[in-house]
Amino acid sequence: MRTLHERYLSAKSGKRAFLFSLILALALLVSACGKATLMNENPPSEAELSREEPSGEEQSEAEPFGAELSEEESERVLSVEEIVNSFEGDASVEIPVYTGDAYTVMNDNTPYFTRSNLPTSSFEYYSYLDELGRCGVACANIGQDIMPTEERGNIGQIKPSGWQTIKYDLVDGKYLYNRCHLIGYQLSAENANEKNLITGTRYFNVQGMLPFENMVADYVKETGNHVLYRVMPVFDGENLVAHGVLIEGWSVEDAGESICFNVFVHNVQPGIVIDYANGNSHLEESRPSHEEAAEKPEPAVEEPEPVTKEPEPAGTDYILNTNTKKFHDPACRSVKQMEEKNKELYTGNREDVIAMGYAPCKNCNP
Amino acid sequence: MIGVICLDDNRGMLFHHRRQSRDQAVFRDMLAMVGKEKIYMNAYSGKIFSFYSHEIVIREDFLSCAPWGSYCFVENLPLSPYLEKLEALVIYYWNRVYPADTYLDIDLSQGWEETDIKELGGTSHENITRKIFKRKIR
Repeated sequence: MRTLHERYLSAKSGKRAFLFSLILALALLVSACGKATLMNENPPSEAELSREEPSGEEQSEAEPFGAELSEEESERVLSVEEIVNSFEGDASVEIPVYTGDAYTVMNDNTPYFTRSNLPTSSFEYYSYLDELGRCGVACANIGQDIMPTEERGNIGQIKPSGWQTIKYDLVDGKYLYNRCHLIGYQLSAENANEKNLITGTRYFNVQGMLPFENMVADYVKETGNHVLYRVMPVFDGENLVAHGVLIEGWSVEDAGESICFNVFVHNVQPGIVIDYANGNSHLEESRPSHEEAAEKPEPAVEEPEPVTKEPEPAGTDYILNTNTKKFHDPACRSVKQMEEKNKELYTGNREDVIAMGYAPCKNCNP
Repeated sequence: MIGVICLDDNRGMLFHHRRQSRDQAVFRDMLAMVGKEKIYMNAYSGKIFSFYSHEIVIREDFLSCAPWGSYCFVENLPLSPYLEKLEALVIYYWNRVYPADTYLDIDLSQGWEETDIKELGGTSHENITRKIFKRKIR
């Protein structure tokens, strides 16, 4: 695999558009239109950046994009655009290949964005979609004031680039693809925003992105502090499905003492081969022909929402903990510990309970 | 000594040398559990207890020097070197998955038995499970 630097050079020499590199994605970011919403500042702004693409001369081949600050400037708080476009790191790093872990640590877990002169007020930034309808960088300074106060609504009306509705038995919940928030709903309460939703596998969403969102959300809720959080989808060429996302996080008020990470989350699903050009997929072993695959798709249905569905008339009894999202055998001892308000009887099959977003209890393993 | 730790669903404790999560409900429950006893911990953990008026013993070598029967809150240290000193282990399960690169280094299926379980609602967690494990009597 070529390095980021090599990919950046090839981008300059010819092909426009979207190469599989962090550097180029950030370069595009500079030229992209975006939406920035500053919280707690007057007035809230929706800023459109220039669409002019930077010339080759304007950008150093290997230098980071973050501009050095003068002594005078070092005292001022950086703007949203400066933060979003900043890059301080090794340009020769390669996009990692999936080797079995949902995410790969990048840059020794140090974010590429600038980590000084950051604001202590919340903001959100979402890039406009490109001409292929793909998301760009999303960035937010996560604070309690932008976190959700109500349950997430339906997002089924959004069709991110490369979206397909396809089911596999081996996928948790069966649906291969989820509409994946770049900035998770629990962080910024951004619901059906097409600039914040990409096509991602269930594994990518749950095993890859969610743990980081959880970690950031807990910290912000517990401390009232902010976490600068940047998510960059990485597309190869004109692919419609991202190979993954780079997620960077940094706790602002304590200068990264509590939250500091930089990871590439792989948009893969173990056991399934994905064509990132268009979202087509097939089982790793069977490899059906394109025609066969075309005959098999399930009828189009929306992504299953994490809400209850009507119990089936027959099946196995399970006790759902609507609070922890675990399900139990009715005889499980945890059921006795459960608060009544969180307890719900479900009769049906196990797969459907899992599809509803519940995980089996590790004690009774229902 | 009685070890007190927090774990995610994958037995993770830390990611990039930092705790995975925190919850005031855990700290309150911990203090209620120990009553008037001291809690031993290192400076890393001591920071988050600075808001509580409880007698905390902060020492970097607390696992070595903690007396028999004392409570030791452990976040960023391996426990296996002190296995022989461990009389019991109190584990707060976050019931969530976080990034992790440091895990509990004790196999609880070998020589330990669960003696107590309690569910508590957290301030940032919907549900936290506290389990107490004690050494099996041979």
